[in-house]
Amino acid sequence: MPDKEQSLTDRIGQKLQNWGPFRRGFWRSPLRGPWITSVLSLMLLIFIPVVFVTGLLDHIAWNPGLGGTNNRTPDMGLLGFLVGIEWPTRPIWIYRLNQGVHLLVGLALVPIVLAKLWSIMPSLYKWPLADSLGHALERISILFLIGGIFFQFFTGLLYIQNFIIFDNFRFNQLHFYGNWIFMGGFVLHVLVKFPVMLESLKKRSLRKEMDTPRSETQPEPASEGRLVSTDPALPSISRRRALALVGGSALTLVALAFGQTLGQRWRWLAILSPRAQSIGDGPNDFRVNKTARKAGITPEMVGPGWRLELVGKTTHSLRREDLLAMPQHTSSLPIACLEGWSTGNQDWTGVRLRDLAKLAGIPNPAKVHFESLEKEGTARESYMRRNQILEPLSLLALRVNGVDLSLDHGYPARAIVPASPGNRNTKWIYRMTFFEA
Amino acid sequence: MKKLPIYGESPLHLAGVVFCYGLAAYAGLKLFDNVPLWIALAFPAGIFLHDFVLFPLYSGADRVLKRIQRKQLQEGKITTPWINYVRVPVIISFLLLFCYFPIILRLADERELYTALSQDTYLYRWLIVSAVFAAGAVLSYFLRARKTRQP
Repeated sequence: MPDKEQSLTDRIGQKLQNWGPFRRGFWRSPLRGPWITSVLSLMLLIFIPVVFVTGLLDHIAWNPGLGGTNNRTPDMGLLGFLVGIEWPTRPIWIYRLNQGVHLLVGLALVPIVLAKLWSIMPSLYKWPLADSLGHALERISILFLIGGIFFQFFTGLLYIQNFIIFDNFRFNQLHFYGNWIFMGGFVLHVLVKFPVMLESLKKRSLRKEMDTPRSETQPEPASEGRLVSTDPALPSISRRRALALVGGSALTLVALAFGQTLGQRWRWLAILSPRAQSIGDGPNDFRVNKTARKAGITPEMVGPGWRLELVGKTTHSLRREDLLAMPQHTSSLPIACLEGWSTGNQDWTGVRLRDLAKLAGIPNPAKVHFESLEKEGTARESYMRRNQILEPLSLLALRVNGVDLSLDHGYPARAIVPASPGNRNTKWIYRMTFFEA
Repeated sequence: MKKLPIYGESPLHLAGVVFCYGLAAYAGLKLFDNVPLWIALAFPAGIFLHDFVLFPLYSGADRVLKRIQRKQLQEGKITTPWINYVRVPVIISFLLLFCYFPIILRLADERELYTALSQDTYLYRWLIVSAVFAAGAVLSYFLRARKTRQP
């Protein structure tokens, strides 16, 4: 019986050997080979960890351990090993930088991943499909690796464009757990291929390859394996140009999107990225994550009848005038969104959170809970930790850039805490509750 | 390293496979506790669309271009190859569309409600960027061709 199966595999192999993409001569690019694949792999090995780490930092920045919608992926189990770490408030631009890097490097991965897949296409068509049980499991794991990276690309890219296809309220689950599925495949792949990559990189000198024009471009030796063509065509591009094309496309994507991480003055640099447009030039015309209209906030809800309910050891009901009569402070802070865009520093004016904690009778709070008039979505509530409340730059902002907050930016009052995700800085606050340590 | 019987790879490989499948299965269970199971199809679908749609399309198009160029070179109609001057703008234009198709093709209906920004300008932004790269490629091709003609 095993003999019969063996011969069947062989017979299929003999048929396939001369059929379509299974024929080695079908693949004619003189550039393909372990060296160019390894160069692209090395680029991915540098950039993927950057995107991975900045993603995890975003996870920490939300202080998921405080509960409520701070924890976008409840019941993480073992994957919640980062929960509980205290996210700092300084430097004030750390979250802005983190998300800018996450998005821009993530974009730069797109052309490198596609080029890498181009370079390894012949190995998809080999027979037998696997040499051993172990090899078969390794090959199946590309479902996590390649399927995973496309999954991360698309969940991320669709989300930042507000394109709802997978239920976007589930974006956090998709992108968080999708990342771990991808990481499974990635770790195995690096474990198996890292030595191969190093060896292949040593076979050719990068500097020499960078000096070689198209006319002198030679294929890698056919003995190097299936990636190398046995019937190479004349080169239509040199290796240096091909690599420049990949790197240049990555840089182009980054350059066209870079402006969305900059302030009003340089916003015109954002040419093609989701936040490329500007609302206007007024003091309230910086980028907004969710408008009052989308959040269901009407002017009547925030009219003269609006009160801030301040809850702690004592409870206060404060009018906006009462808040304006308290000591006012100004903090110059950006709004930075997990979607990767941010604003320049805006001058927020309002009451320090620690002053409000004192007023509520809890000068040394463990955390605070903000509740918004917005009834749906993660931004409807937020928790902030002790270090964020005691930070002197943290405000319940009433005004921005010298004028009252606009309705879109959270009038009558919003939280603004340095280095924290924009979404956690609750808008249209109607209740603040301080909790004792 | 020594290969294990039946498994056919090293013990380190086995450890990697166990870690990989363990982590992916664990994350998968957590994920599909929260989202519908059909979304799991996105993993094979991404690979399928790349390997059997995108790759054949672009390599086929490239093969056609190469054939035309080869013919023109043989017939002496041109002396400077032009294929890379086509590849560069087309690839960049495609990548931008690949990343931003929802707003370029105006599919993101909710966007304006969320952001107070319309998606109407993106088609033009994309066309203009593509046109600039295409014009740059044409210009550099003619400069290149003139340089090669002069001894």
